[in-house]
Amino acid sequence: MRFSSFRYLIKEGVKNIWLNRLMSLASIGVLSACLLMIGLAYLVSVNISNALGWMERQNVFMAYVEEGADPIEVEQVGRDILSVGNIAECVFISREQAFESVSELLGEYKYLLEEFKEDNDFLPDAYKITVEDLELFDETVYHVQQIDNVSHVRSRRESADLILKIRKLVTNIGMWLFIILFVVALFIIANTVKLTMYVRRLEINIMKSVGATNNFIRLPFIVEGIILGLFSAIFTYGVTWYLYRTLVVSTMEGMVGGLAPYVVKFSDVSHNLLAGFVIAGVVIGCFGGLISIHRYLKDEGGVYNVG
Amino acid sequence: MIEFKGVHLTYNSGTTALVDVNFRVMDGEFVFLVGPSGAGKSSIIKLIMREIVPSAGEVLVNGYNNKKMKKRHIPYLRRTMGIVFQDFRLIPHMTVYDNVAFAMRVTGASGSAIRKRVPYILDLVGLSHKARSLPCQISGGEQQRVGLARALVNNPSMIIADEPTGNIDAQLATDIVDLFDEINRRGTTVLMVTHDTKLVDRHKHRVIELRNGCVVSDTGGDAR
Repeated sequence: MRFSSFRYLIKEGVKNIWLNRLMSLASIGVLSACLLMIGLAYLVSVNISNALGWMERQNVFMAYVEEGADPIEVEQVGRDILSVGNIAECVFISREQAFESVSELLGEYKYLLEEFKEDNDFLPDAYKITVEDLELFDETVYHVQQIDNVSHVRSRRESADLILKIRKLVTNIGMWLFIILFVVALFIIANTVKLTMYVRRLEINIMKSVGATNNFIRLPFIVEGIILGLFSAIFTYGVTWYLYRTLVVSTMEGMVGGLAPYVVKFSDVSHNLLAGFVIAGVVIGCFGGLISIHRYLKDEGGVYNVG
Repeated sequence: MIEFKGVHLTYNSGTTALVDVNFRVMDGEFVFLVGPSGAGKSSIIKLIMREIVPSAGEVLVNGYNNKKMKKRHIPYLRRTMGIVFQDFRLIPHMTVYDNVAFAMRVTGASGSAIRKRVPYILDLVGLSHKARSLPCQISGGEQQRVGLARALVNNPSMIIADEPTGNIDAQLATDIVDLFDEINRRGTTVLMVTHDTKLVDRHKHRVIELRNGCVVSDTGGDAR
C-alpha cells in the first residue's frame, strides 16, 4: 500500500470518530469504565502479592503463655523456647507492655481499651521469637507449640494464608470481570463502528462499485476502533493514577499502624498498567471494528444495497 | 468483452429472473439494454459486476469467469469497468472534484496521478468550472456528468450505465447520451440500461430487449 493511501485511510478513521462524536465519546466512557475496573482489580492483586511477600519475609512469631501461669513458669517457658534451637532472639513481652504498646498504636482511640484493662485473657504474657533459618520456620513453630504452659502461637503465616485466599478470590473475580467487561466493551465498540458504517454506507457502496478491496474498506473502521481504544487507555491510565494516589495511598498511609509497607508505589506498576491498558484498548477496538465491518461486508455490503 | 452463455438466474426467494440468456458485447460496442420493469435488466448488471452468480450458465466479463473467479479478485474485475447509477450516488459532503478523486483514492492511486487525471476527466465531461461545487449546488444533469466522470476516472475499458437518464429531463438526457457516444468513440465499451425508447431510436446503436427474463430481440451481435 502506498504511503499516501495509508495516510488517507488514517485520516478517514479519525474523520469517522468526529462524524460520530457523541457515540465515540460514549464508547470511550464505557470502555474506560471497563478498563478502570480491570486496572483496579490488577492493583488490588498486586498489593496483596506485595503484602504476602512482605509477610513471608518476616521471620518472627509470638508464643502466648497460659493464663494463670506463675512467674517461675513464665520464665521456664522462655528457657524452653531457647532450647528448641533455630532461635535467634526471644524477647519477653508482659501483658502490661503489650497493653501499653496497643494503646500507643491506637493513639486518641485508646479509650476503646479501657474496658479490657482488667481482662487477663485479652493480652496475655508472651514471647516474641525471631527464628534464624526461615526454611525451618514451621518446624520451630511446631516445637514451641509443644512446650508446657504455651497456650498458642501466632505467626504471620496464618495471616498469609488468609491473604492468599483473598488473593485467589480477587484473581478469580478479576478474571471473570475481565472476561465479562471485555465482551461488553467489544459489543459497545462494535456498535459504534456499526453506526459509523451506517452513516457512511453510500461511500462504502461506491468504494465497492469502483473496485476498492475489502481490506481498503475495512481499514478506516479498524483505525476508528483502535483510536477509540487508545483514547480510552490513556484516559483510564490518568484516572487510575489519580484514584490510586489520592484515595488508596494517602488513606492507607494515614491509617492506624501504617499500612505503607504493603502499599505498592504507583510508579512501580505504572509501566505494566499503561502497557496493559493500551494493549487491551487496542485489541478491543481493533476486534470491535473488525466484527462490525466483517458482518456488514458479508450481509449488506453489495453495490446495490444502499438502504 | 461481455459474454452470457445460457444464463439462468433464480433468486433464493424462488423468483426466476433470467431464463437462458445468451449475448455477447464486443470491445468498443455501444449497446442499449431495454425492457419493462422486472424484465431482468438489473439482474444482468448485478451478474456483470459479480454481485451475484448465475444459477446455471456462464458469465464472462473482461476475461473473468463470474462463477469460477475467486472472491478476492472481484475488486480487480470491477476496476475494469465504471458504473453509472440512475440516482447519481454522489457523496453529499464532498465537492465535485473530491467525488471523482474518491474513486481513484480508494483504488490506491497516488496523489500525483489523482491531481493529473481528475481535472482531465472533469474537462472531458464539461465540469471543470464546477470542480469546487458541492453536489447540491449543481443541476441533475451535471450531477449525472459527475457520476460519469467518476466512472471514467480509473480508465475502465467498459461503462455500465443503469438508467443514467432516468432522473433528468429530456434535453439533458440527450446531452448525457451524446457524452456516452463521445466516450464510446474514444474506444470505451458502453452498456446502457434504459426505458427511454426515444433516446434509443435517436441513437443508432445495438439494442438488446429483455422480457420476463428472456432476450426477445437483439438488433446486432450474434445472439443465439
